Formats: sequence, C-alpha cells, structure tokens
Amino acid sequence: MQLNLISHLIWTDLRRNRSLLLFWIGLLGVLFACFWPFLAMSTPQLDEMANTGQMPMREAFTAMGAVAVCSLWAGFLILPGILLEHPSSVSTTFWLTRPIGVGNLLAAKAIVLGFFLVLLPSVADGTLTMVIAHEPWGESLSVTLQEMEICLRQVVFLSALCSLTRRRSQFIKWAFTAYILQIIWNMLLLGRWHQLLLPVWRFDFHMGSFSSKLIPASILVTVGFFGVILHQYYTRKTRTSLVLFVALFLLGPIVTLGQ
Amino acid sequence: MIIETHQLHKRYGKQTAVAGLNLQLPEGCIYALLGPNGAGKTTTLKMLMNLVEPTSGSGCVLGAPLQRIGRAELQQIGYISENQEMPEWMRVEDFLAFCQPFYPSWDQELCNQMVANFELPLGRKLKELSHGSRLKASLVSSLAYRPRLLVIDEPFGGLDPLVREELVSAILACAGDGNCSTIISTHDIAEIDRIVDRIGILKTGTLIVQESLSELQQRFRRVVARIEDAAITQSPLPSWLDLQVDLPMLSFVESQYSAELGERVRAIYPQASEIEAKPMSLKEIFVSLSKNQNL
Repeated sequence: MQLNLISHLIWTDLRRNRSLLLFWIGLLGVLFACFWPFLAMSTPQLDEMANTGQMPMREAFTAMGAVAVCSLWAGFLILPGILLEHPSSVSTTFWLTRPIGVGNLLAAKAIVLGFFLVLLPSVADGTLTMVIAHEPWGESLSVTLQEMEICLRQVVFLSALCSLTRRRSQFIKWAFTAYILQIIWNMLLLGRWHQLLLPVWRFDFHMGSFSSKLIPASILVTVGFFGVILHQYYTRKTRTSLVLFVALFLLGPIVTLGQ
Repeated sequence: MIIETHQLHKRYGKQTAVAGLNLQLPEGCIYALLGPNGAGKTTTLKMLMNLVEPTSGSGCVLGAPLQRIGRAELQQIGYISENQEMPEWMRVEDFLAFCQPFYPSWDQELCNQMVANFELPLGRKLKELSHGSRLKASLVSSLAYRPRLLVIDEPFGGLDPLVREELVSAILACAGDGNCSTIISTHDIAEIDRIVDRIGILKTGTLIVQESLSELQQRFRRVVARIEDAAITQSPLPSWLDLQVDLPMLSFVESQYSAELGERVRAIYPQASEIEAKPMSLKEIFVSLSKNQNL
C-alpha cells in the first residue's frame, strides 16, 4: 500500500461527496446546538433539574435516538457514494483498468467510512451521554466504545452489501429489505415488538448486544461480512460473494434460535 | 511477445464466446482484431485485461499470466473502450490530475500537448462532453504515461470523420516510436487498414485468420474468368471463397494466391480464358471470410 495514493483517493472521495458529508456533519452540529444549553450547566444545576423533574432524560434519549437514525440514513446515502464511485467489485469499468490497487482502494474507503460513519456518530453519542445525561467520563467512554462497535458492524454489513451492488438505488432497495427482514425476525424470534417503534438500525443478530452469549458468534459474522468485502474486491466473483453474504445474514437468526 | 494466449476459452453458460484462441502480438506491432458483432472481440480484450476470467486456457500479457495482471502491468497498459464508464463528475483537468499519481512514467508535457492538440476543454466536466471528446480525454489519460501496450475496444463507433482521424493519428504517434504495441478491436475496417501491421479475424469465437496485413493481402485475390458453359454448383477448391457464377463469367476469391493461379483455374476449367486476379482491400477480404460458411 502506498500512502500518497491512499491520500489521493481519500481526497477524491471527500471532494466527490463533499455536499453529503458536510450535510452529515451539519446535522450532527445542529443536534449538538439544540442541546448546547445543557453543556453550559454545572452539575448542581443539572441535579436540581433532575430533582424537580426537569431533567431532560427523555430529550437525551431522543437525541441519542436521533443520532442513531441519522447514522442509519447517513449510512444509506454516504456509503454507496463512497463505495460505488470505484465499482471495482462488480462492473468492468474504467477503474479496473487503472493501477489503483485493491489494497489502496480499500484502505482509502475504510478511512473515509471509518471517520464519517463510525468515529463521528460514536463520539457524538458519547458526548451527548456525557453532556445531557451528565454521565461521568468513564461511562461516556464506555458508551462511545459500544456505539463505535455497533457502527463498525453496521458499516461492515452495509459495505458488504454495497460491494455486491452496482447502483445506489439497488443498494438502498437491498439494505431496506434487509432492515425489514431484521425487524420481522426480531418480532418473530424474540418478540421484540418495540423494534417497530424504535427507529434504530441495529443488526442485533449480528451484534450480540442482547445477549453476551452471542458475542463470539456475532463477531464471527462481522468478520465474515468483512471477508465478503475482501473476497468480492479481490476476486470479483459476485455469485460466490452473494452466497456467502446470504449465508452470513441467515446465520444470525439461526444462532439466535440455537441460544 | 507482448501478448500470447494458448487455447483460451470463454463460455457464458451454454454459450461459447471465445473458443481456443491462440493470439500473438509481437512487440511494437499494431494488431487489429476484426470480426462481426458477437464474434468475441470484446470478451477477448476483457480476458486480456483480466476483467473477465477465461473458462480454460492460458495467456500472458507483458510477461504476466492473465489472472495475475496487477498494478505493475496496468501501469504499462492503456485501455480505451467505447462503453467505458468514466468518473463523469470530474472536470477534464481533475480527471487527468487524478490519473497522474498512479503512473510513475506520466509525462505531463506530452499530456499538455495532447490536450492542446485535441482542443479538450479542461474546465468542463466529463459528463458535459460529447462522445468524441470523452474518448479523447480517455485517450489522453491512457497515452500520457507512454504505455507499452494499448488496448482499444471499438473506438470509432458514433464518431465523426474528423475525430476518427484525430484518434488514428494519436494511435499512430504512440506506436511510432516502436515501444508501444497496440491491439484494437473494431469492425470499422476502413479506418484501420492504413495503420495496422497484423490482422486477426474472429468468427463465432474462433480466430480464423492471424497474419500480417501484407501477407494477407498478398494471398487474397478477387479472380474473374470467362468459362463459357460449365456446370458449377460448389467451389471446386477449398481455397476458393465467395464463388459467384454468372455465365459465361466466373468470380471467386482466391485465398491462396500464387503466380500459378491461371494454370490452376485452367486445370479445372480447360476452356477458361480472360483470367484476371485483382488485389483486394482488407474490407473485401474480411467480408469474403465472414461470409464463408466453411470457416
């Protein structure tokens, strides 16, 4: 891998998607601005608000939910913008005949997606926890790391899906179908009807957030999705990658049932 | 050899796109891969670029096996295709600036010179350019690093004669120093018969001809002879193609021409007279070969 080529690719991606990325940063900024007053408050003031029933816990959860929703839609929009710009995986296009190098390409994409869809929302979530819910630093860090892990799994899953598609519309259609399937499975297998109400994009089957027993399996599935990305980019054998992807997607509910 | 393949096959399901291709491109040569639509030209070029995996067979491009063509080889290959997707959102100057870092041998002076020659609007986005200008931009981005191999797939479709001329000149200029070999697939034979050294003709996935243009034109003749009356139903020799009888005249294409043609015709038709053998253009040769059912 060559750093100068990676930075060249990153810069191209940032320039290409600048409107979308600025909108995403702006959205997080607006969210923060809405809760700015709480940031200025001291601990006794917040305690007093909590004691008098004014503590905006509901708002705090709303804000965190909003971050999750935003990261869902940002993922839907930003991810294909970044990945489908170099459709190395599927089509025989201009990019495949240029000496870009799959390693360079994947590294550049990982950095851009990692920053905008993993680091930014998880830090936002952690900061909101600290500022609004007034959790101590250690707790906020834990929330940040947890969110980071969730975002990472989400990005890996969506990137694997994206690497199998040609167009943004196709990706959104598939991602939305996967989202609906996830909700249905949650309801049928776990009786988690609230998933319908909580507008949160969580591939719980693959994340193990509801059961620590599932964590090794969920990590395995995420690593599997990462393998799908590598397989698709390095071999361009879409049919095999698709079979792997579907198998991994179905593995979630199967593992859940097994537990 | 810059390109060498051995028994290359490509099948899509039950459909055979390329069958047993043995293609050789010597260094410094301009090779035209000709064939009607669906003959397997684009599939062949895609296999040579490692865009499509062969079903069986093997091959080398710039010394690297087909499936192992990577960055090092792509830095020496320029690929231009009529249907190439390009980063349409980029302006021409951004596009060239984007390509530059990937090629250590990028020659900025040559790039500027070609941009000026082609009168490319640097400030305009690729999606705003005409088909011809997009192809020119693609050509500049593929020639500016002085590639050792230029792979061009159907470049002339939808282009006006002026742009065609510019493209041909650019390809000739690239090949002129002898360090660049070119393989060009097309069915616009009129454009390439003045620039190519070597010809390959594909028919339903099989290479029916592969030789130098001069050798090909040497051995093909359109023969016309007066034979008075003779019952002719089919070609008496396998080397006689496109046989047409309009008594008392007989016309055919001799694919193995030699100075003894007259004697050979008279051996079959003793009464034959006024035997005339005319040289053929590449287009005429191609048409007669393509029409031949036995090939």
